[in-house]
Amino acid sequence: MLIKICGLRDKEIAKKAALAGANYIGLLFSKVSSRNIELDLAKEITRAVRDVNSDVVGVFVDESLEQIKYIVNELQLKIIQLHGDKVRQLVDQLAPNLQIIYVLDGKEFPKILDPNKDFLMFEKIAIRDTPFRYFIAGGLNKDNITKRLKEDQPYGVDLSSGVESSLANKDINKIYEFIKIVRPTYYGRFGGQYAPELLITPLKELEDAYFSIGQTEEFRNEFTNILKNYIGRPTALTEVTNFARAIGVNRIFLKREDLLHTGAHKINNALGQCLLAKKMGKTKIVAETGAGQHGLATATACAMMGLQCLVYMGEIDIQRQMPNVAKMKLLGAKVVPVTNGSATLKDAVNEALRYWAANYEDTHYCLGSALGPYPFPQIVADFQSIIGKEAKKQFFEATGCHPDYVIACVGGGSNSIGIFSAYLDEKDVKLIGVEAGGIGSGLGNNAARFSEGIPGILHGTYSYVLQNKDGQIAETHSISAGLDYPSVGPQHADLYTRGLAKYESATDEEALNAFLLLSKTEGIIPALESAHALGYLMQIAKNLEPDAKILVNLSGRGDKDLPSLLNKELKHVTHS
Amino acid sequence: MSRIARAFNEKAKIAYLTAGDGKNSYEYFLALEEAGVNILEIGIPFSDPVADGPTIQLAMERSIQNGTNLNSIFDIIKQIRIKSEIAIVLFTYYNLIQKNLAEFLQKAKQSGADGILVVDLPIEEACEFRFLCKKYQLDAIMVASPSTSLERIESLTTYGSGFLYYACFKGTTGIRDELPNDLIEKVSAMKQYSKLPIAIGFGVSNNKMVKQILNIADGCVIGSYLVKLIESNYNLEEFKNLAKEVFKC
Repeated sequence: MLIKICGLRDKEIAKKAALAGANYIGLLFSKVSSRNIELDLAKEITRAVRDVNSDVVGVFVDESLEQIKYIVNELQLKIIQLHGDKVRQLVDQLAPNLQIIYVLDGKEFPKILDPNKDFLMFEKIAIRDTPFRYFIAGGLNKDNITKRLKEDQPYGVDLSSGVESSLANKDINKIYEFIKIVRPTYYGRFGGQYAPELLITPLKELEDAYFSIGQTEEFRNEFTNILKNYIGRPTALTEVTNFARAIGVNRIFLKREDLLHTGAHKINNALGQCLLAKKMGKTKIVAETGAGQHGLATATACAMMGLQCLVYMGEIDIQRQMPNVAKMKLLGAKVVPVTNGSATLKDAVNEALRYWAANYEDTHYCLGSALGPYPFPQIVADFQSIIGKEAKKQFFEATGCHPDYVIACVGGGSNSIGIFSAYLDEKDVKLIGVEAGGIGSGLGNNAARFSEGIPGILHGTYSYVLQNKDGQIAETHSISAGLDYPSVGPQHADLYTRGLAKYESATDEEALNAFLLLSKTEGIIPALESAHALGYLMQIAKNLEPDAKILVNLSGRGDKDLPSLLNKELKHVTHS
Repeated sequence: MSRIARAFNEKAKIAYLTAGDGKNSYEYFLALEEAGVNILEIGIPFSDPVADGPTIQLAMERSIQNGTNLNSIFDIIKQIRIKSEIAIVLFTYYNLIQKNLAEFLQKAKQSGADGILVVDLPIEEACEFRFLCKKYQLDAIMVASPSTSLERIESLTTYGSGFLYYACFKGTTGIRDELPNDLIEKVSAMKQYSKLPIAIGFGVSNNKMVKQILNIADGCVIGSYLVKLIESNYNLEEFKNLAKEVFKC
């Protein structure tokens, strides 16, 4: 669905609208309109919008042919909208390669229009069975849009007054809200549902169950009760003064997801999804796992709820996460090694998707991170949002304010979106996601999607993806099995694109140093994944404001990493 | 009349191979025409083919190892076109083509392709794809599955063109011995809603299945069985004879 926002006169808002997913920004040239724009400002907006890969549409109402040609040339416009009676008559005198959006007025429209190039726009008049692509326009607002989309089946929507806070003043929050309604499966430019046809019905079934069963008070009460009495929520917020002193930072607080039953935040989501699956009447659960934490969490939830559990896990991950494999088996889950591809997380996701496609009637796919086709990113983010809700309250109680920085590691992105989500409306809180920097730069040496990836599609969602120039998914490297996924949840791609969160990386070595330092100074052994967040904090420690207050999501504990580390990177510890 | 429409003047015999798997893969495609096939499905290899079973996954791995990319695919089509007017459908995953979609479709058309099937592009995401296919006069082939509602069959065949590919098993591609029990009822119900000819595929691997399918549908697709022959290193002549055997009716 194309989205055009019309009548913008503010460069920053135009750019933000484009980044939020608007394909076209309409600049209105009309002396009789309060949304009229001067050429100099139009040039600035055009540059800003094209910089971020959207485009501008010149919208004309009553200009002369010369004026239109002049403006088209000055702005190098490729597409224009002919709105008024007078300008509509000029259509056959314009350059033939110029793309036209022709606003219908009830009269026959000119033959020169080409359905393979031009658009129609239905404002007051609509026609049926046209070979043209068409926009709908005219008084669209968030209350009437859903109905109009259904009735008119347009190719695009044109928004103007419906996204204004006052006459001619566009409101970016309204724009974003509107885009979410028009493209409900997306976060701005990212997300969607790029799944094989076979999965569309099961995905729809899951979406329906999530919005019906999953939103009832009964479901939420049951879920909250399990979180409290089975896995030990709320988790503590711990101020780590020794660690802070050791790295020269004013105050650091850890949100202790490592204290949860099974040892990491993954259990929040696994319990939520398995509870939902059970209420949907499913008897089996299939899951993928990288570090083994999500597999363990799912196996735990299944044991507790009496569901059968099948976990796909890459052969390489099985080797480096033995304790979790043993635990899963102990809990009655079947662990299936995945040997194809890179034999890590992404290949386990492939296998779990294939299994689900063949068995969706009695099986729920419990996806472990905020990725995959819609509705998975939304469901996972929802079940992990408890982290941020608790942390925000606890931090405020402890300090009387919000943190200056919230830092979390980002694999698929579930623990980070869980803690970020509570702070998205707090403009002064800087959100930082830390990716796996591996052994350094270069495709294949890390899992730094935002610095080395480009937008693409993996596992049903449009997001940043590490891939080669042919579009083949790249191999990744990280010391941590939970961070080596070649793509990232679509909501993170959106936050990154709109500048609402920053994404940095920490190398294997930096993560390992943080792992050791936190263990020694605080008696807390972090998961290697979480150690990346701490490793990044150590990098920036000396540049922080002297009074900086930091919140780090300690997403899991390090027990699972020990056998592999003690055999290899930390051999000296065993022998000392 | 398009080449695809022409193929459906009789029962369509549709054969899939992963392009670039094995040496001179265009010769295998031409051999399929000699074996009686009238639509070729040319698979573009992808590193993470979630809709495919092990046989085609391995073929894709081999093909990527051989350095296959979009340009070499276009070359294969051109080489087939030098000798043949057979209908050609490209079979791909969306990541491989999404970045320069218009350019890809234009080149596909220029090389001689007639239709495109994108496995992981449901109609909800296919707005631009569909428009561009129309623009470049390519058929947008849509897939239906056992979970697709009859109402959706109608949309799929309104959105799509050429034919409707019915993937008759749940799960992934791969060799199976028997057709699903309820296939006849399924297909006769689908016919009430479909505006396009229906071809059935997924798992088809012997002559008996082909005959059963062609009795109830307009076309039959064989993939993994043929890919397996390439994997087993049959020479061109043997490959052609085995293909002829399986499609015989």
